[in-house]
Amino acid sequence: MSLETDNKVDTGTPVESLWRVVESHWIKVWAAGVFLFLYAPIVVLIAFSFEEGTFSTLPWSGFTLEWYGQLLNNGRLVSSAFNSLYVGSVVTVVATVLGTLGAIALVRHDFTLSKAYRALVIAPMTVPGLILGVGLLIWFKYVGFSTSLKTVMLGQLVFVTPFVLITVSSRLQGFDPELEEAARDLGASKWQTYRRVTLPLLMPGIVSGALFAFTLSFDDFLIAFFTSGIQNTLPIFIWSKIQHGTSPVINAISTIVLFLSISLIVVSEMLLD
Amino acid sequence: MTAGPIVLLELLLFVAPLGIMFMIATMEMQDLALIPNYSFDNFVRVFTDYVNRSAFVNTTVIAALTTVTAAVVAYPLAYYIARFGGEYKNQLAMLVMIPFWTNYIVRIYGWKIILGSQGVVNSGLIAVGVINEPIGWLINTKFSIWLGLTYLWLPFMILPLYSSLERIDSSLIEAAYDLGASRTAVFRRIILPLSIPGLVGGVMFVFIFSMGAYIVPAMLGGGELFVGTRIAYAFGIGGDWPMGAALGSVLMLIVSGMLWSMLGYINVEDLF
Repeated sequence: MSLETDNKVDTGTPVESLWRVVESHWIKVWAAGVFLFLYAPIVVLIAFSFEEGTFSTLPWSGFTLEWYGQLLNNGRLVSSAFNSLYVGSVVTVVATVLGTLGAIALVRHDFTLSKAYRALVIAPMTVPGLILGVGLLIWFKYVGFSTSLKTVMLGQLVFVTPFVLITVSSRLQGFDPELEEAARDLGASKWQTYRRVTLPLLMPGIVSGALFAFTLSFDDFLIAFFTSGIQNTLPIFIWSKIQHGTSPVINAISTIVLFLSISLIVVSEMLLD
Repeated sequence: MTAGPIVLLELLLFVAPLGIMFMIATMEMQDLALIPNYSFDNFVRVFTDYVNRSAFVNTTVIAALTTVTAAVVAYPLAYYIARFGGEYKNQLAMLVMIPFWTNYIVRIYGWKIILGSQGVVNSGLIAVGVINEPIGWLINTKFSIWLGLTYLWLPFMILPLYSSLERIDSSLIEAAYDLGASRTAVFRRIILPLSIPGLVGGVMFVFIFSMGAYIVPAMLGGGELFVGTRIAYAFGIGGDWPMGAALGSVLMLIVSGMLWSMLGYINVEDLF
């Protein structure tokens, strides 16, 4: 490597500064390449959702909005989208409350089992969705719960709540516990301290945790797939469509889903800044 | 105690289902009914049946390859954002987040359109005249599983790496240069060691997620043997829950082992 020979040159000489330029350039090209990779399927889906021909192949045959028109007349699609919104809203509210409470316990209190507690709340984030899905399916059958959207919500809470907890606890670690102590010294009760000091300071973490929860629930396929019974959520609907081969209608649904998620993140980022 | 509700939730709907899965794995299934004929036969079959053993070997090899690829691809990008991002740091990090926040079934379907035998790459190359026949190994192969998994989990490697690289005090690097350290020395002795927590976190996420993947091998993998698709098959058409539960239990043990050995080194709360 020529890097080694360049070392002998002191910083600031032309050769060294040339190296700086080369270094910052290859890494720029690399970064651009990675972004291209990350966005390739997204761009392709959007582009082919307006393609006239029924096959997503090059070259293009022409522009059409037909596939979007077909979506609006699809009753099953609309009802599965509403199911997803309903499940997502309930999961978001419950997970945000449970996760915030759990985060306060994790950061502010030192108790004997805190190591086991930390492991218990981190593990569900890393366990493959497939294992969680089949585990929950077996469990619901075993205790005699019939599967429906309710079991989907229960199942999603298992891995969504830890994500909220982590988001909120990293915010909680960022501010000084003395603020809470000061409130106590000034005569606030434990509950008043939470409500007037801790919660407002935590709000940005809680809001981003809630958005996290909604997106995770809205995108979840595996838990819903195994625990939804005969009811569909949007990802299950898309999945079953894909099983019947590729079609431009799926591209159109996908584009709408992409657009919704992207605007949700952009809006949340703007709110949080 | 504010931890109560989440502990209850996870005990009832996380620990208990996994426990039941281990129990079901020791049972038998006949005519779609579970028979309490307890034995470890299913666990033995995980390692002795050809399809199961190959699925585990394939999955482990592909997951390891994916992890290495993701680290190599992600590192320069994370480094670029952390050190050259300047005022655009947050925007660039958000550009990494956006795909990660959009539905993964939809994105993998996008890859199916790109890689398919009539897909964008093949039809494009044929239209230009580079090839006459579609390239055979682009889809329904180990290659496409590897590509799909690398794609899907890349943000889980980039973000932890970025957050640990971003925390490095640039005066440390300046000081090293002032003391005459070479660029490689600065990288090897300062940047790399300080980015280890992010790297370990990324490796943990990518490897574990790849081991348990289902969507990618089901959509892009054709008939390639993979643990995730074996488990889904056993619980679906295969109608052999105990076998699926045994495969899931073994996978779960591997995942927990990984997690257990790595959680000691990193603080998950710091990774994002």
